[in-house]
Amino acid sequence: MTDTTPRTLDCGKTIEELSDYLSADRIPYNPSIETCPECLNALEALSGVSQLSRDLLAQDAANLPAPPANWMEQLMATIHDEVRAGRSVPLHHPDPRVILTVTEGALRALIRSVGDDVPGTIIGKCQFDGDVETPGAPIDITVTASIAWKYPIPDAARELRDAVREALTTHTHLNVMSINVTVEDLHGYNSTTQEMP
Amino acid sequence: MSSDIDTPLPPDALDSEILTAAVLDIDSVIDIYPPAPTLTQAPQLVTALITGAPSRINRVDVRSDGTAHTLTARIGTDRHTPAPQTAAHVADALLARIPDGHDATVTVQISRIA
Repeated sequence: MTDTTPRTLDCGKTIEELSDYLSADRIPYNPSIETCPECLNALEALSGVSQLSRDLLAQDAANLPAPPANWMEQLMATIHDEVRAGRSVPLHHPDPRVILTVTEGALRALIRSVGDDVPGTIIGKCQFDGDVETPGAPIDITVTASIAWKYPIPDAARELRDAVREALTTHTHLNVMSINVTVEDLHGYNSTTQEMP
Repeated sequence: MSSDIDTPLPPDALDSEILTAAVLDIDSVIDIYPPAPTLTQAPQLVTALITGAPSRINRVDVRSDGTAHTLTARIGTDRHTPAPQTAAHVADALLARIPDGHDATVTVQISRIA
């Protein structure tokens, strides 16, 4: 895929369309976007990227390590890959007439959301390794992240891992064996980081 | 499940609008979505776009052959409430509309947690 190849979701919308829609403050209201869970998950992820872009532009980057040239492009591509519904993760219910599931895409969006709530952290990729469609099967989670400059990486990684574990424990019945956090990048700090010792 | 049906199915038991309202009545349900983005829904989607009424497609999907009933809800949930709990409440609310003895299957898919 090249930088100019549209990234199309299962619903037919492209990440580029959603990015434009977000840039226009979601006006005029588009019901086909606003009623599509994959689109909404993508908009939330793109919103995080937009905030990060503004943070990077707002601060003096002269003394900071520049992010890789294709870093933002990679992030957009990852969002495209991860907002797709993916596999169905079963949830328990005692009545055999009932089938409850949560989509893999919803869980990845959740992880991205809780990860972005960890100060100085932007989630890159999130991957579920294992048979998530079989109850009780051992599952390993791999998350990559970019950490803001001056945030202690071990602390941020631990906080991220705890947040992901809590989210998955709360919202799934997955048998999570491990949560592996890989810090792949450092990015510019926002104003709150300047007060850290 | 289809034997010994003592209670006839009420006329509105399979009314999609009523079922959808019952689902949206649950606090931790933030939205309900079309069952799946399939081509078969294209006419409804076009209508929804023209009329600006997404509620025409965002509803509980009801399939029934007269004896077996399948209810499907694709929902978004509030992240402050455990998703399994919300999904169970939705399933229970839908099953409550179907009298005992009727052959019913309820599928709830969570597509978004926000």
